[in-house]
Amino acid sequence: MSEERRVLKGIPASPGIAIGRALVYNRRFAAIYQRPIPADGVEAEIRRFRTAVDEALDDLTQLQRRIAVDFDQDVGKIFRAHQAVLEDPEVVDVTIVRIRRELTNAEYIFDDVMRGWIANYSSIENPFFRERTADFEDVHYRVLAKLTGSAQSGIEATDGEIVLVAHSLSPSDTAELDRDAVCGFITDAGGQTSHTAIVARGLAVPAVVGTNIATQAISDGMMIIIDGNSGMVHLDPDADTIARYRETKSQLSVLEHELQELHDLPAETRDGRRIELSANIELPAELDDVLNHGADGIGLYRTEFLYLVRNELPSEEDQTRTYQRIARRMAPNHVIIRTLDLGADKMPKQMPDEANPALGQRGIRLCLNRPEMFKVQLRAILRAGAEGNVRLMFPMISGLQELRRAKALLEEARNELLEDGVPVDPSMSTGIMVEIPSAALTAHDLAKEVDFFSIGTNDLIQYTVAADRGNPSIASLYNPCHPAVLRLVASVIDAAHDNNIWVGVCGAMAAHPLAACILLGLGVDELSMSPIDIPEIKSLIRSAEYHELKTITREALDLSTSEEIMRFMKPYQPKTELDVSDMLRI
Amino acid sequence: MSRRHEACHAGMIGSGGDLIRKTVSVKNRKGLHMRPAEQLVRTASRFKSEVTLVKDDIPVNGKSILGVMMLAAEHGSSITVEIDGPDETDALKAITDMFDQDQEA
Repeated sequence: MSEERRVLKGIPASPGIAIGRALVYNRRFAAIYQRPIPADGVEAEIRRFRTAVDEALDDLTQLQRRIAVDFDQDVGKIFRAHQAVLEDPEVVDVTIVRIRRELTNAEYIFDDVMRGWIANYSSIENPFFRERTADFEDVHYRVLAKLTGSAQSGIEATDGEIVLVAHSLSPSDTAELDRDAVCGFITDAGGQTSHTAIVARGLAVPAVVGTNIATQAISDGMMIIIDGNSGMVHLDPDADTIARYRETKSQLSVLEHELQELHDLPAETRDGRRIELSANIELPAELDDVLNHGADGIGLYRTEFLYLVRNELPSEEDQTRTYQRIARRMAPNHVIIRTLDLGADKMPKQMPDEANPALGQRGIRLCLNRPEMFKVQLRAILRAGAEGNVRLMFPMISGLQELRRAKALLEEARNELLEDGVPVDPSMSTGIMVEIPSAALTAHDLAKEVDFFSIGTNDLIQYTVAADRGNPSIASLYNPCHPAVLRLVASVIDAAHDNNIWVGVCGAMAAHPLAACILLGLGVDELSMSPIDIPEIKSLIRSAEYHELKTITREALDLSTSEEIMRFMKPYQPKTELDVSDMLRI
Repeated sequence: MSRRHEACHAGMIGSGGDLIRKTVSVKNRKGLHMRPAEQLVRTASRFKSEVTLVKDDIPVNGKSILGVMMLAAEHGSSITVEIDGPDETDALKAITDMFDQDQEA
């Protein structure tokens, strides 16, 4: 029976079922063996090496083009630097000279040459230069894959239904993905809100993260089932298990189709309370998904990606172009652009090392310390807002003084643009993420100086219960139904409404059916989530009775544990028209 | 370590003639990072002459992106450009011009 088969348990990061063959994306290379080359075979060996280098160069050119289409042009230029490594005489010529002199196979010599460089780089003191090793390793890997003829000349060289298994996936890895070939992700690292999870949900691909050992337990070509709803990964399942999952999978796709029919219907409860349902996005490439799933707008556009995929800061022009593209595509619906929230788990390489980045210089703190950098982004957002549907949101605000400083910079940026005669939105709706307990507790004061709140529950939970959301060993502490969290959220919603501003929730909590019912009952005006979650939550809202939930949730707030709250609320979670929740959230 | 020596070698085995040199400073605020380094290497590679960059007594091949990045040259650091070969005058001018312009790539 299937019980005898191996099953890994991870954190469900993106829903759905994927059945496919594993491709283990492992940056530690396959073993490289030293092989003697006969003297009369040396020229052929050198030709083989040159061919591998040329092929790798071609791949990089293609990658650069593809990324220019999917993301924006400057991002692709990173790969120009990778190409420069493959044109470096200290790499290419030295390898050729040594193949000839040592009568040894190309992969062994090339590997040795690159390892020598990488070892030297790891001893550089300046972290910015030291961390270029990641770029060089990328190139190293690419050429070795060509030379060893392994199927892994990058994630793209695959066909059919591939389940990608990796320790973790970086932005540049995800940029390389062939989205038609990869049907699911499994990673060793990460939590529900890790970069991998966000990208997987954005691409509507099932994913399980935080398995710890997937890359060791799974080998290339192994049959894999990912259950992105429960977080289970079945390794080499028997025929019965595969059949069972195929059945569920096809039911889910019927369901998904039916959910699509909700597309043009409003997110309105049976008793007439209308909620705005918007989408969280990270890449312009996700806009198709946003529109297909019937979102009312973009509730959270994370701008970090623009900064993470390149070695230098994105220019005002680049940013304006990207923001305008999104705003135009979504018009007349709104787009809320969150200013840069770098730091913590999304730490880019050029940022200083901090012992405790989650409590360090991140988000608005970093931006206020680097006003020149920050104003470039503010100017770009104001310019993109000239057509009227862009809103601006500051992350990581901890109190009123910070908010005032950020608003002063925004005002400066606006005045500069107006003086230069550049068209801007003269009265852009400006809000904050409420994600730090100190902001939640002073929400009454903050509400008087902003146009809206968006409660960032991912961080608010992490900071309230002091549990790292990326750490699987304490994942159980990270609970959206903790009474402390719910009471804070309720007080923020009340503070907003007392001051006549609207309030939304843009964390993962908004897409959790039971938590969404609680938020609805607490009176939230907007819920923002990954596009794929929208139909299900819309269906839930359309089946709910607002007035009933309103009374019940206030009672729930008085309970003292998350278990009690969930048990108390469960009967009031509406059975949706399509009964999605039972099927999707086991 | 051995790698450094090899890079050193590659730069120093010249034609044996007189080399010409000039010391410049890095004006780019972000230092000689990937993009300006790549431009520098492309420029140096156009010439036949040996191009060596020396910083803090460490010489590297100026036609090697890995070598140039290895200098970890920050804003304000000073680099000596040494050129040896048939087109050394043109090469020195082209390369030092690059440093003199603020390489804000």
